[in-house]
Amino acid sequence: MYEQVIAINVGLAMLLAMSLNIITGFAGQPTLGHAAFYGIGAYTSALLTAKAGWPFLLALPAAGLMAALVGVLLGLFSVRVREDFLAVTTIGINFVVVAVFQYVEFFGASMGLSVPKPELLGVRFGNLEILLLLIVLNVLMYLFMRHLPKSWLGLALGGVRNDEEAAASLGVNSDHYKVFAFGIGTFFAGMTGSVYAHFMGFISSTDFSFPVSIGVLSMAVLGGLGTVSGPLVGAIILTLAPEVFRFVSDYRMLVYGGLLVLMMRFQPQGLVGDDSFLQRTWANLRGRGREGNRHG
Amino acid sequence: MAEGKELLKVVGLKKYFGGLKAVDGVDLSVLSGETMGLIGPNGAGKTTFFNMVCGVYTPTEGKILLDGQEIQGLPAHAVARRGIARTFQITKVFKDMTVEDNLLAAFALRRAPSLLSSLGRSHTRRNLEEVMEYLERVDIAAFAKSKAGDLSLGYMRRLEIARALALQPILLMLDEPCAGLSKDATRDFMELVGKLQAAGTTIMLVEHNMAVATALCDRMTVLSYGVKIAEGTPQEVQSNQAVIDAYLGEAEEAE
Repeated sequence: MYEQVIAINVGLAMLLAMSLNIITGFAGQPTLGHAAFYGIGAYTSALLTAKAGWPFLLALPAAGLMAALVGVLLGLFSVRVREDFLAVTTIGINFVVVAVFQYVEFFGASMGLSVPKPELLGVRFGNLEILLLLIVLNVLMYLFMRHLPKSWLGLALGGVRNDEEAAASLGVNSDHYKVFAFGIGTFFAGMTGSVYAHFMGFISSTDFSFPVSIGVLSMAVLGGLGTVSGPLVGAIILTLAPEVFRFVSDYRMLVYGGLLVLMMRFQPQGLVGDDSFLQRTWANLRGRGREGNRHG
Repeated sequence: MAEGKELLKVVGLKKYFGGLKAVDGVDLSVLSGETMGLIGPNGAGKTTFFNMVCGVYTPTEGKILLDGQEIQGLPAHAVARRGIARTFQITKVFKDMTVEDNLLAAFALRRAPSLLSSLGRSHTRRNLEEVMEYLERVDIAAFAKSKAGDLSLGYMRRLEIARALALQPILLMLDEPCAGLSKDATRDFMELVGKLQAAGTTIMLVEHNMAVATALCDRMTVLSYGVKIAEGTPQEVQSNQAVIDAYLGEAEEAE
């Protein structure tokens, strides 16, 4: 089922883009290596189910926790690293993680790992079940993202993102909140990796390479970093575009790179961010509609 | 709070940057309920002193006691939690957040002290109503939903003060609050400080402008080249020969 596969890919991309948004959008910490945590989750889940015989439902959160563990370590490290250096550090992490998967025998090395299809209550997971699971996870995560800006955590992260010194003057320990954001964001990325592994049935290191990170970042940037629904919009557009337009599929990295450059220059707030051209157009249309009603 | 109690006591505070003695053994105390001005010419060490009290710099030597407890060397967020709130010489509002959210962020100190409790909802009706009370106190309630970055400098300063007050501090520290303000905005600001004083707020104020400091402060400490050269009421300080000498070189550029 072609449509199901596309929908699954969209669902995975949305989860990844939302999880990146917590770290980069809300906490303001650039990460260019998000695929590393996606991969850590995928490999954790694959090994736990294939080699240790864990049920998928346990491996799923465990994959999130393993990714979060590494994410927290990166967060602790990042506390001492200024923003631009952090971006470079995260690129490095991505390459290191991929290299470990690529060369260490335990992780299947260049042969990759095959992953058993999950079973739940006697039902073997096909694409439909994976899709349903992704819908549940997306709804849960979206609810969390919608809650975030109205929570103390969202406010603290906003402080850290805007000005750490000012945040500290309000009693906010920036280090703690940065690490917390890394932990939450990488946890969700790890869970997403688990779903990906069990959907694919086979994973190898290249699935989690640097271009994947750039793809996820492009989605979040296109939709709008730090917005609630932006990453979803970006994930949908950039996942569907290669299916709809042949040239996007042929020049994927060119499109991602080009989008990053253009968005940063002309619409850094993203498609759904404050005062974006989409929002202005929408406001204009609505304004005109109302005017029309009044006169009509 | 009993008037005249020593709220902040600084003993022999020093900060050396390599060979530069930015602050070199300053003693000072702020009594509860008073407004203490820290003044001096440019480069006197006022801001360095201020930043040591707020936890931005670790002193090279000396003690800072808040309500009898040593706080020197604590990080800035811990100092804030002990009850010292501050504003910045170059305003540091959270520009991409609304005025309301800027203020609400300060409530977290009381309402969500731990990481886990930070997952709780901040935008409750009760909290939002309290936010409006603080915004009304500094007359910027009309801008609650505006982006803080869109405010004028004078209003950003007010937002910073409201945010500091929302911490319910025992000591409010203002770092050159009138720098860059127009005459009108300065007058408005002085009125605001008057209201805070009437409410019993203890204030420490770094001020370069002698006229503003004289009008607002109960007592003043004058720094020059990192050392204290005078202390007393504004009248006493103004007639002090060392102070006049220190400021003389600057007299022409003052107005």
